[in-house]
Amino acid sequence: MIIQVVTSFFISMCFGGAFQLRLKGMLVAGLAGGLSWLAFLIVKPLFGSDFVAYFFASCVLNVFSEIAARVAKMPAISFIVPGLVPLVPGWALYSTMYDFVQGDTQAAWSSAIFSFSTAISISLGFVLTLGVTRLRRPKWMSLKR
Amino acid sequence: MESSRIIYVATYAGKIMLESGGEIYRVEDTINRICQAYGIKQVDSFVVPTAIITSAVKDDFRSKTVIKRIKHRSFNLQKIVRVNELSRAIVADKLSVHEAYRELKEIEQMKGYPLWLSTLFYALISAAYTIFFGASVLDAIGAFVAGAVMRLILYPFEKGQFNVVFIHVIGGAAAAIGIVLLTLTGWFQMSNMMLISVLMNLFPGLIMANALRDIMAGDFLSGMSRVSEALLIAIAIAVGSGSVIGLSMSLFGSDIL
Repeated sequence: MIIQVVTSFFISMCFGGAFQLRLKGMLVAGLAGGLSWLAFLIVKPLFGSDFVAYFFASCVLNVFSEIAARVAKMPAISFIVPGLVPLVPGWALYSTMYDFVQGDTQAAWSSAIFSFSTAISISLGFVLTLGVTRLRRPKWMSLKR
Repeated sequence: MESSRIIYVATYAGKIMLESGGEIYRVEDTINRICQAYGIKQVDSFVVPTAIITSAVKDDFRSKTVIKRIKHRSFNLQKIVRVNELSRAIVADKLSVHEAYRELKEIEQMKGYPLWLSTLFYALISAAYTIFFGASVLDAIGAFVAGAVMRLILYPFEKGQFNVVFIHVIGGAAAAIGIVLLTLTGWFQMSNMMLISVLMNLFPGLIMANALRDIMAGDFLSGMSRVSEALLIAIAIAVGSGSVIGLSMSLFGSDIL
């Protein structure tokens, strides 16, 4: 578990670097990725469902990124993009492709449906947090600028 | 004269942001804010992933319009950060139009990380992913090599601004070829995990995140076009790697990966 959190921190940090972020942004992006994967690992045994766990992880990612964006005065997208990467269901996407190549269409469809439902739960997390931040946005913008 | 310069500078800032992978609402917001900070009160901008249209009306009801076409994009989050800082400085009334223009020119020509460093980043992502999936350190080293090689193969294609779909087919195929060659040496156990880790580099995470945020902000047109772009890229990666895997299965037996 600790190894997974540390490696997801590292993955997000390197992804930030690959998208040309400087060191400060890379570290915050790494934190976003590590925290969201930690949330996934905590929530998954509680509910026993990947769908709920991905939703919570996505919420944590978005909330953390929005707060960090306000504090660091950097756009939230620069933390969300690298932080999203550990949440991508790479295994399911791969086995979709692999089973199609092998001719096992039924197994391919079941992994395709799994990756699709993961995408839906991640985007639900986006929807919820963005809906809230967008509500307050005009107010604080006009106050700050 | 002055107002057309202001609109041009604002649209230029928006262009840099959009090319580097900013969200639609952020680009529109930046353009409107810069114009308003310089005293143009009535300004509207219409942004889609491939074009920016900015139109402003002065007090004498004469309107001025600038259209910028976005031909190719190179994702660079640092440029978004810097344009964001610049627009904050402009709104705080610290920069003249000329200084803003010079600053934008500098941001556009900003040097990214050197090739060896960005290759190292991608290789490290591959290695870290392999350990993330629970494979051994030896497998991680193999993924490190394959990720670095794939990035170096893709570099000339990205520089030459080829079609994104084409680039990702090549990338998927290069990753699969690299992993198959590494597997043939017989040193690695979890070669399928290594392949996932390397393919993860290509995943269109930025486009997907942008698409979701666009849709939530009400820009359905841009959001849906970005969703379809991300889907197309995912299919391209699958086609590239899948064809190589299918070929190597018929050459070396079906348990190669």
